Order: sequence, then C-alpha cells, then structure tokens
Amino acid sequence: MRVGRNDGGGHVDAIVVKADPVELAARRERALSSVRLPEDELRSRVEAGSATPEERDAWQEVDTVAFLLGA
Amino acid sequence: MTRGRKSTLSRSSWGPSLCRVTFDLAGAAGEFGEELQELLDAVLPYEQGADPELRQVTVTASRLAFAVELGTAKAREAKTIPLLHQGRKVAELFILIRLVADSADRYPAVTKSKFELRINRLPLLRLDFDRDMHTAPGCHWNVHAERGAITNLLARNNPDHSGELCKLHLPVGGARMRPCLEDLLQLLVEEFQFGSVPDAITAIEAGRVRWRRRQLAAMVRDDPHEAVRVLCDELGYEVKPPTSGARDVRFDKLRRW
Repeated sequence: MRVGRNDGGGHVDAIVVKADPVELAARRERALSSVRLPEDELRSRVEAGSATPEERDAWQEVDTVAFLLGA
Repeated sequence: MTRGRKSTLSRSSWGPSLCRVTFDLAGAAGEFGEELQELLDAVLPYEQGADPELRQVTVTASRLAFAVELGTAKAREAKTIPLLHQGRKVAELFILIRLVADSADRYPAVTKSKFELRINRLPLLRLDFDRDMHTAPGCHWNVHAERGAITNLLARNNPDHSGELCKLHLPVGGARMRPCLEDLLQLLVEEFQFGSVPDAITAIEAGRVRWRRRQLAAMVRDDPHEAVRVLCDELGYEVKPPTSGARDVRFDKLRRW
C-alpha cells in the first residue's frame, strides 16, 4: 500500500533484475572509460581522497560490479 | 540482463542451479526494494518532466548478493534522486544498499549502505554503513565542511589524520542502533525543507517503526539474556528457555562501535 501521494510524475514499481556477467563487465568498462583511468589508479585516487566527483561515481560503479561478480 | 518484476518472479526464472533458499532470498530482496520505492515515492516528489524510471529502485541479484540502486535498470548505472525546491532541482540524494544472505541464508541482510546528500555531484553529508568495517565506526556520518578548530585539534593530536573534517568518522550507534534512511529523509524534509509529498511524515514514521522493530529483534538475538531480564524482572512476563539451551550473548556485537 502506498502512503502519501506523489503528483510530480508517473509511478514506478521496484524491479528485480538478474545479474548478467557480460552486462556487468560492460558496466565496469563504461565506468572506467568515463574517467579514462585504469582500475588501480582510480582506486588509489579514491582512497587518497583526491578523486573528482566523476571518479568517485565511477569507482562506485566498479565496486558494485566487483561485489556482484564476487558473490 | 533478465528483468522481472518482484510479483512475477517464479522459481523457474532463476534457473535450476539456484535452490529454494536462494529463491526466497531473491523474493525478500525484491520486497526490500519495493518497500524502499514506496518510501521514496511517499516522501520525495518526482521532478516534473523527468523520466520516473531514472529513480526506479533496481535490485540486481547475483546468487546470494543483491545491489539495491536507483535507476540502474534504465540508465545502466546508478542514478540519484533530484531534491527539489519550488519544483526545481537544487540537490541530489544518492542511495546504495548491498544485501547478502544472513548467516543462516534466511534473510537478506544489509552489509553496506551509502546515503549521500550531494550538490553538483559533490557530497555535503554522507551516512555510511559497512558491516565489515573495523578501522572506522561501522556506521558513521561524514560532514563535508571545514572548521579550523577541529583541524587544529586533529593536527596536534593525531599525526596520521589529514585534519579534514570530512574525513572524521562520526559514530552513530553501530550496526544495530544506526540511523535509518527515514531519519535522513526527515532531515531533508524538515530542516533543509526540500520539496516533499503531502503527508510524507506519516510514511517516514511508519518506516521508522518498521526499521526499529527489525533492529530491536536483531538486538534481542544479540543479547537474549537482557531481553529476558527486562521481560521477567520489569514487565512481569514468564519466559521459558528453549530445550536446546539458552543462547550466548554476542558481546562481539555489543562492543563494536
């Protein structure tokens, strides 16, 4: 049951998707390509606190893919 | 990527290699995602004209692990929720939650979560939880601001610290007593006064009750002795121990910050 009313636009339901290793690998590549950094360097920049917002987001993507592939 | 709404999941859709327990976990993770979607939709209005699927809660399932993100099914990367003022986007909320099977493979348990208030993609406030974190409090706030007096103190006392306030981990009660997403949403709605859906507080409070009951149940499992003492000594209940014997107190859980 929905509580409240959201008039700003359409509603969506949550969705469950089954992870596809090929799709996840592509997602990882897109993230790394977007910041033009290899994974090790990206990780170093994030851990050192010197990453840009774009690099932090890219690292989040890489980390999520690693979490899902490693499960 | 195979897609399926929670309500249409069937055991066969997960393939023969996944056992019943895994199916139940996927179903429970889907319900978790639906709960999150309903909470967000009951609190934060959609941006006019924006594609609602970009804030769709997406649960990506990989055997016993689940990533809960926003907009991933449509955008193929995690998105943020626009936070509005007078209908205009002025900030963003980033939400990431990771679930894994609990120790008995019965429930999806949160192993990591990340909630961020951002402006121009830069974090202002972060509430991070990592069940396996040991070098910092398992759940903590990071405040992205600067204060000279704190920097001076850190620099004088802790040579290993950069002195930046944003790298200070402010502990908030550990895994069991940490704030819930509803707490952050109320902060956004009441103090920051971002646009909200009518009666958002009702949804926030209902979610908070649900959250605190779950956390309370987990704490009873951590320390059944204290639960029994309160029930018997303070509230007059009679409680019988299980025939298998009383469960030990998980002091490791109680000690962690």
